[in-house]
Amino acid sequence: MKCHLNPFHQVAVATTIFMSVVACDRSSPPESGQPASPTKKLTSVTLQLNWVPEPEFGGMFAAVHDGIYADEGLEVEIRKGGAQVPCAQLVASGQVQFAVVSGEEVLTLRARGGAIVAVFATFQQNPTGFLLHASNPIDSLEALWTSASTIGIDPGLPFVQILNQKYGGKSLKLVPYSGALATFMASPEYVQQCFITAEPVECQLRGLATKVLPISDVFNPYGAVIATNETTIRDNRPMVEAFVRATREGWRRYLKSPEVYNPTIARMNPSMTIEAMNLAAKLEAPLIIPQSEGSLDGESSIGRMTLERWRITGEQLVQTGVMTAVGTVEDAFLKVDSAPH
Amino acid sequence: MKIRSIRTVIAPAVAVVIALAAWEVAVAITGVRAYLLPGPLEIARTMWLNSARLFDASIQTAMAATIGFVIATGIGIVAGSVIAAVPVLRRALYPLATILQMVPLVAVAPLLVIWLGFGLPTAIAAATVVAIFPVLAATIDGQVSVDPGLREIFALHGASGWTRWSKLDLPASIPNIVTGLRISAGLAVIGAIVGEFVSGYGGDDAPLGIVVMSAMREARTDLVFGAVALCAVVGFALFGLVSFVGWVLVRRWHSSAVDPSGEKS
Repeated sequence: MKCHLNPFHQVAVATTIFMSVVACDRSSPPESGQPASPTKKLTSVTLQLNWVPEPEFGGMFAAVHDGIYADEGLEVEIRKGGAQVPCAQLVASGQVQFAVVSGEEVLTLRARGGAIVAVFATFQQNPTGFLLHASNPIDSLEALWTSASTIGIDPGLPFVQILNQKYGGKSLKLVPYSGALATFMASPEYVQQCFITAEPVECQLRGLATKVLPISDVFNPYGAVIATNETTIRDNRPMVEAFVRATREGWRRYLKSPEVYNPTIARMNPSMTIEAMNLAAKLEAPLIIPQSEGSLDGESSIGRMTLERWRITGEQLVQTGVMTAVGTVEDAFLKVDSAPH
Repeated sequence: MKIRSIRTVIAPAVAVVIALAAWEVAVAITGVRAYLLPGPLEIARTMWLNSARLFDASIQTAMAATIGFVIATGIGIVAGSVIAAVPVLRRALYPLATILQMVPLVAVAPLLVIWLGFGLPTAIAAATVVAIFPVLAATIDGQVSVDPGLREIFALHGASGWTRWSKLDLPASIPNIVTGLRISAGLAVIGAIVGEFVSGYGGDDAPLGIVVMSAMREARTDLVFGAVALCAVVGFALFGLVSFVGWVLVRRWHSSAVDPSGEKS
């Protein structure tokens, strides 16, 4: 989860663990595709996560679990992430074929010369928000940004500038986001950034009443975007398209039956319980497939991206001073059809 | 004397210039993108364009590191002197002090936030925690290594414990303490930065630790390098100050301040 930029996880990057996807359980549900031929040579690719395995990556784990990647001729190694793993730089420089990044990171790095291209957008709605105690009288972004609250937040997040421009924020105290709930739980006035499907669930399970102010009203880039680089697309576009198709199918299956796949994720992330993962999966479904845009069976909306949406994000980043010009947004993402060519 | 001093300054300066030139040429030849490795000129340009922000940030970090360093110096010398003077304390506490050094600051820093809150206090405390051991150890080692013959002379004259400490043990251990302080100076800056990672306030007067985190988030590798360079400058300034003070204190009598040729520096 990219929002969880804990400085101590930054230091813990050195402990990043690799997961061999081929070693995962392959017990497929009935809708699983035909298994890959034993003699078929698979193409090895690496997917770098930007956080520890959680339901926000559920589709990729489902695609592994059910052998969907293998059916597409891919042997996918999912590399566990951490807060300071520079996923965008890793994928732009070709050190990994795919990485999970945020939408704004794609545009920001492209503006710095990085050849990064988004191919799949997991979250159609920005899953970032502010977590408050339910007892906190603040009930809107405006009220929050005009208060004197202390907010735990990652330095450098672009929506801070947007909120500053909109509401001032002169009295706020912005402190580094720790990635943990200890300070939040101890201080009823304390506010911190959150991933809508993570911290609120954790609080709920601990019996702490909270509320969330979503950021998407003011800043709504695509979230948990899977990106590759221009060289990979140029040299092996069929592989990229196969990866996206398999990921999309993985998400379709995951969202239908997350409880089937969450034990696999939980084995990679013992700090999050299966109960929390099941709850998170329910919460994230409408952010991945907004109700206005189809059902789980209408798979076409999963992972899709539009030029207009990218352009709006680019314009907001220019407005905040993160970039000087929007640039050629159409080159920042690649549309992949559901059906193979 | 003069030529030697000039050489002392010029030699490292030339080495730095050559290293920077090689870096710039390597970046130009390989064509590596600036978001992966910017050249020194690009970094210098970024530092110039962000000079006001970086200056304010450096002041914040320097303040935390310096205060932490001063506290560590005070605690280290006092505690070290007590431990050195009482053998039973030395046996009991020295292992504990060693263990204190082994505790990773990154693991402790979140606790400091809980105990001390956000902002300067936690950065100072983090700087103190990492800077204290070298001073403590150097003080103990310096004071237990005092010439026993000199101690006997003080005893023969009926000197009190305070007199022996202030006239013999402390002065004799100054070279050791200065060595410990030199190590602590650099560590204090590292501690302050780690403290800022968890407790520094954002905004216009954010310290260097927050500037680094923010620049990383924005893929501004040039600004990261600029901030890191200033961290090194702050550390070097503290180191230089300690070295100068140490030289002033021991220049008249200790071999460390004397030229190998026998000439006082």
